[in-house]
Amino acid sequence: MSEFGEDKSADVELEDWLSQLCEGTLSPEDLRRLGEKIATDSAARRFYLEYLDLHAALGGQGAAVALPDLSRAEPLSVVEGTAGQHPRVRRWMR
Amino acid sequence: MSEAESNSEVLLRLWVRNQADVYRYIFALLPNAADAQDVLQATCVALWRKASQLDLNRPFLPLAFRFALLEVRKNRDKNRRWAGFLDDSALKNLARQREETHDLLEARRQALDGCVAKLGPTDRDLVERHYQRLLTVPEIADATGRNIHTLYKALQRIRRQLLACVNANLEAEGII
Repeated sequence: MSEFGEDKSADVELEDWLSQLCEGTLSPEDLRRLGEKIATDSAARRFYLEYLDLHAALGGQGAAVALPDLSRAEPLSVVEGTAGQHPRVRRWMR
Repeated sequence: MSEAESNSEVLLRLWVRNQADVYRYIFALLPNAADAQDVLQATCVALWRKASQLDLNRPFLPLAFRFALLEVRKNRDKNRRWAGFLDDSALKNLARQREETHDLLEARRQALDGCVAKLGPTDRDLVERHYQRLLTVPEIADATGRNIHTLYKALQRIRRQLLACVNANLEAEGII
C-alpha cells in the first residue's frame, strides 16, 4: 500500500473511521484497524490528532466539564468565581 | 497560610485555565468522551493529592499531561473497549506526538473559530445542536425530521470543510 496521502481510498477509509469514532459508532474491529494504522503510519497519526482535536475543540461532549469532586482528595481553599469558567470554551457561540 | 494551601490555590487556578487543553490531550489518547471525562477527573484528583509536592512555577501543561498519561494507562488497562486499540509502545508514541504538536493544534484551534463562523446557517445550526447543546444525531433527527444517515454524513462533511479551512488559514499565515 502506498503512503497515506497518496492513496485516496486509504484517505477515505481513515476519515470514515475517524468520523465514526467521533460519533461513537466505530466497530471494535475498525477501532483495532485504526489503532494499527496510527501506530505504523506517521501521516495517518498526524491526521488523527488534527481530526480528534477539531472534534474536541468544537465542544465534543466534555471539553467544558466542571471541576471534579475533590472531597476525595485533600481539602482545598476555594478560589471564588473561577470554577466552571473557561475563556476558550464555546466562545464562538455568540 | 501554609505552603500546601497556597499551592492548592495556584493549582486550582491553573486547572481551571488549562482543563480544556488537558481534556483534548486525553481525548486524543482515549477517544471516547465519557472515558476521557473520567480520566480528566482522575487526573485532577491525582494532581490534587500531590499538590504540596508540585513545582507550579514550571510550565503546567507538561506536568498535567504526565499525570494524564498515567491515568489514561490505568483506564485503558481496566477497560476492555481499548484492549485492541493501542499497545503501550503505540500509546507512548502517540502521546509524545500529541505533546509535540500541541502548539500547532492550538494554532489550529484558534483558526477554527473563524472557520465555524463561515459555515452556512444549516450547517451552523447542526454544529450548534450537536456540539453545543450536546444533542445526539438521533435526537437531532427527531427534532428536525432530517434523516439520521444524512446527518452523520453532514457532520463528516462539515468536519472535512473545517479541517480544510483551518489548513488554508494556517498556510496563509505561513504556519504550515
